[in-house]
Amino acid sequence: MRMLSWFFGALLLAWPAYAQVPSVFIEDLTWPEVRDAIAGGKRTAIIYVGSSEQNGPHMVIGKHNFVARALAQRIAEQLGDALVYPILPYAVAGNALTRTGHMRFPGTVTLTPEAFFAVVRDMGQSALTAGFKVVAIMGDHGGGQDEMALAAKELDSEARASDARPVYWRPLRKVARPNARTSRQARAAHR
Amino acid sequence: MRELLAKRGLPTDEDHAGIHDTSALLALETTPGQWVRKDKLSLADAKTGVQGHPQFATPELGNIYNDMKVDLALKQIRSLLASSR
Repeated sequence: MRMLSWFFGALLLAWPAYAQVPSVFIEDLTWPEVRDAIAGGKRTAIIYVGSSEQNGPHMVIGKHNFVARALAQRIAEQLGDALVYPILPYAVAGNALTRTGHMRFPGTVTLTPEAFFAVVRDMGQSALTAGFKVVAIMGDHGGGQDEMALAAKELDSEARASDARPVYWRPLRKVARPNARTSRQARAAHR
Repeated sequence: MRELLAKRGLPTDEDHAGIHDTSALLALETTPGQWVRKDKLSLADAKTGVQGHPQFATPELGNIYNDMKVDLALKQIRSLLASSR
């Protein structure tokens, strides 16, 4: 009897998962799995920006990255046709040389606005190259919102100009704080 | 979210590592103390990098907050896709 159940267990493990990807996170997939997922209808790429920055003496530096990962997973699973690129763990969190913003505290990582813009844009370009039709850029963080919007805009015009296929590209602004005034203040504090 | 805090008599000027941020992480922790050090909450102030009142953070508020963000993102993505067709 034990032999039989072992045999069935092995059979189940070997059975290829045709219909579903095992995860919405691209990190968990092989390239043929990504290819097949896109061919099978996964048209939306989610690029979720976190941040590695001080969060006071009571909360860990990875906060934004953990929230980003959790929310990105829920959003992708509810959309049904989305995969999530690895969470970008860095954003604009102050000036490393003049020690402004969160750079006053050790453990914070800051990218210059130029570097951050370039990384976000290149992640987006990678998604377009892979064949995604929609690239949603989202942030769990105040700093870098302008750069994210700029990256989206640049990718949008490139995608349309190449005319290879219809591509829609939109920046999703930080949704955490609906109050516009607070968002501006938060962004100013992060520069 | 600000309205919710106000309704509960909680501070609303939570700009960094305050009630919003701390609650969001409390809701996601799988073991206590994994990501939020409750014994250090009394040290949280502007000098130590905090703009807000994280001592009022709760997992319940965090779930509300995280749900809101997910719902807003879904609404945004879906309406943008619909208008682009």
